[in-house]
Amino acid sequence: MTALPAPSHLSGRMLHHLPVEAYTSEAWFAVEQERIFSNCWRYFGFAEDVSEPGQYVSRQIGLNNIVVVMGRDRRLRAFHNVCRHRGTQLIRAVGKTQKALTCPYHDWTYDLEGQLISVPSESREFGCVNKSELGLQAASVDIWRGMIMVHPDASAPPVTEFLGPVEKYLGPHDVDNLVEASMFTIDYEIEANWKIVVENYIDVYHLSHLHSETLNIYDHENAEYGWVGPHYHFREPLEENYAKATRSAGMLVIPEDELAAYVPMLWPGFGLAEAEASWSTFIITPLSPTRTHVENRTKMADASMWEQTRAAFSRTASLLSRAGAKYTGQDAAGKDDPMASGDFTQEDIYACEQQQKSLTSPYFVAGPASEGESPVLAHQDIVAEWVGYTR
Amino acid sequence: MTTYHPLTVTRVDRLLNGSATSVWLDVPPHLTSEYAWKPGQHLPIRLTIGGETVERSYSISSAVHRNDPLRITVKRVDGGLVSNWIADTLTASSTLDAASPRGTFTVDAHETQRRTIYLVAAGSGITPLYAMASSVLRDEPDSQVFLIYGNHDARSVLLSDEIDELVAAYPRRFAVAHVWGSTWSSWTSPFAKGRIDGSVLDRFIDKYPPYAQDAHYFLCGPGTMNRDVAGALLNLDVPRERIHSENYGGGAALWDDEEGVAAKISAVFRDTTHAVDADAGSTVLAALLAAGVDAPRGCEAGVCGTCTATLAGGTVHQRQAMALSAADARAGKILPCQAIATSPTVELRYDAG
Repeated sequence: MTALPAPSHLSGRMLHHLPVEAYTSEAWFAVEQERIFSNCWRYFGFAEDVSEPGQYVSRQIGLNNIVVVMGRDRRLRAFHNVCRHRGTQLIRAVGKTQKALTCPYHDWTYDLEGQLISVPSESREFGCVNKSELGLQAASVDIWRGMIMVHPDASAPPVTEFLGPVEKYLGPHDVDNLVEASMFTIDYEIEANWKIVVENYIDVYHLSHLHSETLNIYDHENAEYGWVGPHYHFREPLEENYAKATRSAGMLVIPEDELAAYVPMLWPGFGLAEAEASWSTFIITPLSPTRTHVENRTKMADASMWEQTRAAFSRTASLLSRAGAKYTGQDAAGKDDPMASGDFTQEDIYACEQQQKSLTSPYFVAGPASEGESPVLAHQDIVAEWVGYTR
Repeated sequence: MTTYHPLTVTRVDRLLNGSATSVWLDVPPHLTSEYAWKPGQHLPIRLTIGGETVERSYSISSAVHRNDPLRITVKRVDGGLVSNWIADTLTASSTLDAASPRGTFTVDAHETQRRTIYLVAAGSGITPLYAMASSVLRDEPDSQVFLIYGNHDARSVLLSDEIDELVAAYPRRFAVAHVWGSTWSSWTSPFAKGRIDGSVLDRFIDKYPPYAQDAHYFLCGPGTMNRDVAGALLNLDVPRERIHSENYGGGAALWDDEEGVAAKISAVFRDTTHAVDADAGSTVLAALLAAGVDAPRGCEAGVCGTCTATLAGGTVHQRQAMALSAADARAGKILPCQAIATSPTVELRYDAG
């Protein structure tokens, strides 16, 4: 039996510089997982997540499950969470002083350098195990901008070689001295390909339209944006009245004379929203060709919630146009209409999911891309380069 | 065959009331490559004093960030022929025979590296570490340097002003913690008093944790300081390959791989005393098992703590003791699976019943 032919309405169709399949097919998803998401420095978490000796966290990063553990020298180590015995993903830090990593399946135990130090009943079960060749496989780990970064390759070049060149376009925020505001942590899934989510994030054209009522505190006309390697940077001033109110409200996380919103999308799917009173991550994780996970964590100035709330109120209270719904009254489809939510995240999720749905329509045809959408095309070109796709 | 060239002494600085001397040397253009040096290296010199020809080697203490010419700093040693001659007799515009710099204790700064460099110095051990600090700070913009520096008191800190100047030049990337052995008090208080031991290092690293995770530790001090500090770092999980050291004034080797001695072991387990013989280097557990004693055991790697016992007599060396806390160790707890006898008799009592 021969394989079924691909649906004819999908073949050869393009969304600007990438084929529609790039947004819908398992084959593209698998290639991206390998060549993009398992092939460079990746966000792992906040430095605070592993900040005590013996503490450890494991996380799926692309195709790799990586465990990061801190020794009593306060240095992080990263290993592939694959026991060298049966490959079981069970590695965890244990012991009274948490100086060892162990797989509870057969109790194979490694020291904090990944050396295999114990194989229970070694002589009875194995005769002899060459422990020196069965250490945990190391990965690279470092801290950058208050975040733990990992690379699956133990001999990866420094994280600053990858992200250093874009740093001068990022916000002047002193991230290490901000404090996480965990009540603002959200994670959610979007029924869309990860690239749709990125493209939405970097589409400058949509800011004044989809978010006409929700992000009108920023001066989109004067946005500056561009690329350094695969990393996108974006900066826009605050709208004049809002800037004035923001200065007097205090609780800033940025020097007053550098007031602006910095909203970069670093590679791959590693977004930041470095704003006037908060600093947030926007971490994009592809789950399937049509499903994407987003995690936002937020840091703020070190102050009480009451002070933060008061400052937030005083920033927006004086504005004539406060955040509102795009559609109201009869234009709203109902009380759950994202277009009536007055929440820019709901507006974005809605736009992404509706975009994804149309990709499988036999009548889908992409129109021209605007100047403000030029970053979308650039991102498609970078994806194409990393996966090895040529038009 | 070492080749010496006469280098002109351009300047002599008497430091700390004459107890140390910095000697600045001019390298003529045609010898520049021969005298190229790496921070951490030392300079061999040859002198003839009272008809006797002597050779010494002193660490290069030049500040790389100031583009200093070649400089060595020599501490006056009681009764030392050369150090006293340099301190008392050497003058500017004389010459000093020097050979090309050597030594493998180097920091090798490079722009693309991003590291945390810990420097542990005592006394005149600061000289190569000062050059290293200055070099990393100038040439590795993404790296940080943390120095912990032991001296007798505030008045005996060699290169004190230059260290302060380096902190002022790189305030976000360089920090210094002083440890003073003397109880003499001054208007400033040090980071710690006493010796640079495990608890001082633990506190130092807790205060200055590595931001860049590629951390390296450079130790330079007299006598047993290097070995003591290296041992303390190992106890803090620092891997050996990240510890680099140079001994000043001789001293013990950095790593002490204990071989143990043959011993008579007496082990109390479930109210029964088992007396067995252990070969040199055999663990207590191995000796008991070889004699047919079904002694408590688990991982046999020092991790699980199943075999924990209390030492009642004699001494042992333990290769690993992960399962023991510092308090356990103070209470005389040992792990027989890791313990080898270092005294001819060893008595222990198992905790498990």
